[in-house]
Amino acid sequence: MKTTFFFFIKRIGLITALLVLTGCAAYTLKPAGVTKVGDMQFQSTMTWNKIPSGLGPKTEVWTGDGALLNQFIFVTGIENGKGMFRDFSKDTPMPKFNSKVLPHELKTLVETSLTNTSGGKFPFTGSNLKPHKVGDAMGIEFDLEFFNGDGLLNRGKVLAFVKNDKLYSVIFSAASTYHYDNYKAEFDAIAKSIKL
Amino acid sequence: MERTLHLWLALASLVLSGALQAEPYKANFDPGYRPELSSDEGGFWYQVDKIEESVKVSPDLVTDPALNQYVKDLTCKLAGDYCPHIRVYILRSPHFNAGMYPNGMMHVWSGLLLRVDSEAELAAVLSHEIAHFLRSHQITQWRSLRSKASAAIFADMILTMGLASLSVASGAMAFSREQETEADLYGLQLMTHSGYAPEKASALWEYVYQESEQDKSKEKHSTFFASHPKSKDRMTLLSKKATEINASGKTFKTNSAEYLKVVSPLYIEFMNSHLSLQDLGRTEAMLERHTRMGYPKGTVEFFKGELCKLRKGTNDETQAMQHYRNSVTEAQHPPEAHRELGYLLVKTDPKAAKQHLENYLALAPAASDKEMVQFYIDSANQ
Repeated sequence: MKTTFFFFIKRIGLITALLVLTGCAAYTLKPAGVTKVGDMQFQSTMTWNKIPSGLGPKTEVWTGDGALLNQFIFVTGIENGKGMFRDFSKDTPMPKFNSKVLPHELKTLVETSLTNTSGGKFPFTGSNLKPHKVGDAMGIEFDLEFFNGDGLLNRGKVLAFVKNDKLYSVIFSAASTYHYDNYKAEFDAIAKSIKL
Repeated sequence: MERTLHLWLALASLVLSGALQAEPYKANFDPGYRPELSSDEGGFWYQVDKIEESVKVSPDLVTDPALNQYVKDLTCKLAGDYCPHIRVYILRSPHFNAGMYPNGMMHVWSGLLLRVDSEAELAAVLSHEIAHFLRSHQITQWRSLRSKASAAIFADMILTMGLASLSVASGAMAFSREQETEADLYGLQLMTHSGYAPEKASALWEYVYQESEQDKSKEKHSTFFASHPKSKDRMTLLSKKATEINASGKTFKTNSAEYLKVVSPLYIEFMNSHLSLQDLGRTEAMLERHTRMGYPKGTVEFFKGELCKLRKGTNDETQAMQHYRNSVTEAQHPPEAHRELGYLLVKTDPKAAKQHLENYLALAPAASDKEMVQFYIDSANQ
């Protein structure tokens, strides 16, 4: 009994230490200014934190106050036939990107990919779809809305475009109360300054 | 092994139904019953009351007044003197399910409303849920779980859960198969007492069984199937009882048209929510049923087009175009059928594409995607 108790305490200590260490190591400060994610260059106007996400190899996630309150997902250079994110459930696999898609079709691709990060439990819906050019690449911009697991309404904005047969996207989402309004100008600033 | 188990359950159900058939079922408590707060049941009610407060402000609550009034009236008709103690909440969830809680809170999911084909079938489900309530099944099950070793942990888990986890909790706290059989038979008693055709109960299970056959991989994950006996077993028992009841010569009602009239205005919203499941086999079965039921053809054809578009098979694009064409030839069709047809024609027939996209904007001038659509119209002009 005694051995089991000490083994348990030791294990908890080890796990805590690992969490603290890996947690600290994985957060990186991203100061305001010109920056590059993958081969996508843009200008941010405030300081962000790059955080671990597990979404997939060609993604990077930033947050200001914690991913549950606000976040940017950058998707850079998804190739034809690949998903935007890794598969989270075998019942809801990631839709595959087809480099020959028309711009409007990117909306469903992004919506479904985001929905499938929760195994389909929390659907993301887009609205206000508009064309959006990035350099000479035709893309789209649209608004995003979803309820998270606690029933909290989140809103966001998405930019997606295809360049050299590869998919690029900037996905901003935040709690609809305060955070969305507070950070949406940053999305516009980033979207406007993208260069490849 | 599983087949043997089902056979045993079916036999047990038949024996149980035979044994209880002579005496009509009665509620375990009088209308207006509320347990003492100091009792275990009172504490359980208190926690469920708190969950109900969050359901009242849930973003998933369907607030359409006509639909809510219709389901409420039907529940009242079936529950009789217990009507004031049952509160129905219609929730936007595309799965096939309904739920009853010990304090009188009832959930009806939009996925259930999409599958039910008549007032009689809805009455079958509501009666089943009311029967769980009247026979105090949940508190019985709660006490049974509590007596087990893991119950303390389980209690903490379920009672601290929010609305989002409620369906998971409901699955974990599944009624026993005996309770489900009792609710089926008591439910049948309630629905026939209100004049609804008893064969519609087994007919619904027959459909549910057929639909689940379209997608075997998902039945085991379904919240509903995690807590309910296999639909084939229920079908057999309910069908046998319906034959006995119908032998009396009494006439019963189905009220299909009444049901369609109330649910049709929400059909597009519920189907859009269903499509987010990406459950293509089930969607196909549902759309065939909706065609037979008489939902507006232009709308059903639009969703058949959406299904083909999602499936992305070899001929699916051609089939999708045909369904959208079928949709737009109907007087009542979603404007989006023109948009989708236009988008599919952009590469092959820009002139026709432009015409359909213009039709879309003419029918939906305030569409939130009009800038995108206008971009394609302008491109076709160049």
